[in-house]
Amino acid sequence: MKMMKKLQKMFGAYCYLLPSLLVFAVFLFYPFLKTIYLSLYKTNRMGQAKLFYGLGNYRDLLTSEAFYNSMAVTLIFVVIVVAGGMLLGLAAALLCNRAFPGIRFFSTAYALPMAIASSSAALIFKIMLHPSIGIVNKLLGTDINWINDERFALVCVALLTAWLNSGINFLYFSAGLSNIDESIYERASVDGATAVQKFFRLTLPGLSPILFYTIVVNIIQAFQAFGQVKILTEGGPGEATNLIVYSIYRDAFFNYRFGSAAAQSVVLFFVIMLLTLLMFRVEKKGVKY
Amino acid sequence: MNRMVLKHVCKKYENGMTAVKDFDLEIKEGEFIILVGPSGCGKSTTLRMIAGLEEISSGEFWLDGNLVNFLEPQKRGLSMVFQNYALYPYMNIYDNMAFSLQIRKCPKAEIDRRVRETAELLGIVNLLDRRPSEVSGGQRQRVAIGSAIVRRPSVYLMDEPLSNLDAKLRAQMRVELAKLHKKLNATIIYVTHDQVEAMTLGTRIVVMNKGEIQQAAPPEELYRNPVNQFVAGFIGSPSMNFMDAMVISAGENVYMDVAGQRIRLPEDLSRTVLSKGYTKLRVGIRPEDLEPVTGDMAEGEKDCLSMDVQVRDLLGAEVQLHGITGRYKISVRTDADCMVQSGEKVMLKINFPHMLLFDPQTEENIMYQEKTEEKAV
Repeated sequence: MKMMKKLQKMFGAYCYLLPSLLVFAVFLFYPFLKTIYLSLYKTNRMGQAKLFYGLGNYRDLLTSEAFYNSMAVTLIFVVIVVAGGMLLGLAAALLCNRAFPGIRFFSTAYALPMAIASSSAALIFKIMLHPSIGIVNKLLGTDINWINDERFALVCVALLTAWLNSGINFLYFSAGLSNIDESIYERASVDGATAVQKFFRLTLPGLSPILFYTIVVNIIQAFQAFGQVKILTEGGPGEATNLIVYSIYRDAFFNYRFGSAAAQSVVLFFVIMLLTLLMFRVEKKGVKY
Repeated sequence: MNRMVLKHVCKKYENGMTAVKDFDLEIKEGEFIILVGPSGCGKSTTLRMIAGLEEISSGEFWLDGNLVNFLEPQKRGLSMVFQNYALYPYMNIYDNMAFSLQIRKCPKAEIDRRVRETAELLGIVNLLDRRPSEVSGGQRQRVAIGSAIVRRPSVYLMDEPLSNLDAKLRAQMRVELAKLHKKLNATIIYVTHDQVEAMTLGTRIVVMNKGEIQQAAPPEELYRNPVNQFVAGFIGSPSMNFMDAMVISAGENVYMDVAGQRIRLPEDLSRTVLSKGYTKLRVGIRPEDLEPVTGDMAEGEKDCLSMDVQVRDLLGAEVQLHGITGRYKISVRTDADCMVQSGEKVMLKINFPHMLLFDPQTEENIMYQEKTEEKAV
């Protein structure tokens, strides 16, 4: 009798969980498992698993130069995007942290990138970076083919992404700054602290929880950047901007090598997971409070 | 040398509101100045202007002979205890106290010595490695004071530092502060709305109302010789009793008609009143200057006020009687032996030497004796 009651109770709890579990299953668990499954096969053009290949896809990947290039490009990209996006957002949030006439206009402007779709931003940048009619060359007085030059293409895409991410970062940091008690700055002033000392001793530690969260989200977002690459450079010139996600897309839908694409997806999953775990490990030491 | 001179200091906000008007004060080294007044009277604003956290709209602030109106707070070398303590939440108590020394690149050994010394003085040595969120309110308050004194500045600004503490702790910390002032021999400017703190701590009290200084004087003088009705009513608890009176002169004697009762004025008071030609007065009597008289002799006593007692509050050693005479609510403070109960009528003998008379129009104390010392300012 007691057993029955216990079972009933457990069953009840799962009933409540069922709807969300179903959604997760359809949109997350199934695709995830299917990806792992596909990564062990060679596929036909329809993406159906045809020939069991074992870990062959992974072996091919780990011996291919293109994959390592793709990984390296992605890492550089992530570093620029995360550093750039966070610095932009932080600087904007610091500027907007005091009241002055027109503050609303500036906060809106700094938060706006959040509302711009990456593809439309990429289109605008494409025009701005155009070698002959682009405004960037006009302003700088240069004659550079930004997105078709191997030296600049990756930086251009990365900076565009950093700017796009800076909007939401601005929002996070603004919220974080408004959480810091104003009076500790006043005390620091009377104590004799300079603006720089206040920033490093008060603002940064005060922001550290949100800073950590923002870094994690930014890294994950940066790894998944796709739209701007697709529109701006299509992975080129050469392989200069062939980010891992773009490479997956190309393998799957241009080259019809779904197995290889799936294997890359799995590798990407592990890279992001490892990084996130590492970040959480660091958080325990670094985040004050 | 730490002389501070404030000359006609004003604070006007952009919306036209004036927080402080014409604040004139000279502060000598080693003084314990108390800024006191009802909330919104501009006392905190004045303190923040001295600290440099608030811009001075007009007037001059001289520190050690230098005009420092536009000097940044960092460079004024003062130290301040905030009402909410403003401890740095992500540093432990040690770093909180060491902060002002650390940013001055003071040698580590020196910092350590001073922090431990100060912590010992305040009895918070065992808290040094805790976070502010992990210690109690009273301890936080000590940390705030410790952080201020560790640098050994010559001027301390304190903005209602005891207001967040419970009554017992407040009394305890008050004593500690008084001791500390003696020990540090520093200038302290202290904002409070608590008149007990003001009376017990200050060497000089500045009473403010509506942004203006009403009177700046040592506690006893403020109590016995207030400049106007506001100061008289603000200092003292329960507050001074005020009653309007008509002046009646009959032959040699001068009488006051207070709440329908005729009271003869002592000779010296009569002379003052007559010489200034007052016909109406406002009488101010402190609750302890009214003494209940009982028995038959009370009936014959001419110069007494009669009061209908409404409430009798026993506070242990003393009793407070609250009641009405005529249309005035008055209170009386006397020792606990007084057996008068609520509902009874009681005759009150006035202690004339301490009675004050105010001009009902201007509310100035007509018996105010100006001290020469104050004119020097």
